[in-house]
Amino acid sequence: MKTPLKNQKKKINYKQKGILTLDFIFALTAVYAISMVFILLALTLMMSTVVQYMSFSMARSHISGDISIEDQQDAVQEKLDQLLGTYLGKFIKTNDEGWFKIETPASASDLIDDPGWGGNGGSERQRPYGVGIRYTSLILKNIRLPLLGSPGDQATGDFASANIYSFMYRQPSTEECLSFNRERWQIIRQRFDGLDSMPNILSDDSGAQADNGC
Amino acid sequence: MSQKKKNLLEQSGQLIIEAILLMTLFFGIAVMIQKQFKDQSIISAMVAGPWAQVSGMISNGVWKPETEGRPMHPQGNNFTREGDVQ
Repeated sequence: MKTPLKNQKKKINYKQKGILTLDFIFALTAVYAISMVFILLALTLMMSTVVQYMSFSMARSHISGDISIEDQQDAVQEKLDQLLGTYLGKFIKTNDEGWFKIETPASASDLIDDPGWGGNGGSERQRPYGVGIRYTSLILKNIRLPLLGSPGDQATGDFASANIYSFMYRQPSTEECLSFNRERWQIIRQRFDGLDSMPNILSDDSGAQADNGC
Repeated sequence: MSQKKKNLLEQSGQLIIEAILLMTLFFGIAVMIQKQFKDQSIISAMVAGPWAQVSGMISNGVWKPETEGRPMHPQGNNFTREGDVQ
């Protein structure tokens, strides 16, 4: 038995559900891509605060008194290794294999004499020491999104990278204190008559250390 | 009813034609939008455009490019060891 024409039209109208699916796929892809940009940007900014803490923590390790300046500098690397040994190391790496990359290209203290920083122009006592970290968000830099392309396509300069610095005033090392006290004792001995005949208690083999450093 | 008239009233296959047309239309629109996004680098301009300011904020804590904001770095050399403002 043939279906009447009127009923056939009704039947056709009921068969348009696929259009919505097509529209949905397109909309879902677009929303996913745009959402991903904001999620990656948020992750990048969030992790930048973590790296800021890392630089501060490393700088704090650097300022603490130690036997020599080299030991104080070694403490920075030890602190970095310690921090990367935690769960942070799963996301932050010193190579291109992680989500985020950090590099320590130069001592931040060297930048203090850069005119861009204003230059401290003061004494060694007022010279801040610190740690500089170059931070790069690889997930934001390298992502390829459907429909939208890459956020870094037209980027100029260092997209998704930032330099993070922390400065503090370094405590003198034991070697510096001993050297300082020896020089001061030499000046005192030369300045006052009669002291030359006294034994040189601050020879190279021994030295006085003030209770509160030097 | 003659055979010729009967064929004209037959509507089977019309749905598939319409579906193909609509799919082509939607696909064309999608490709056009994608091309616009890529050609004009809309997402790149949205994210990478202001990155210099964002980078400066991460580095120095001020909304300026990094080199401009350096003198305003909170721990740079604005304070003496004793805490006085230089």
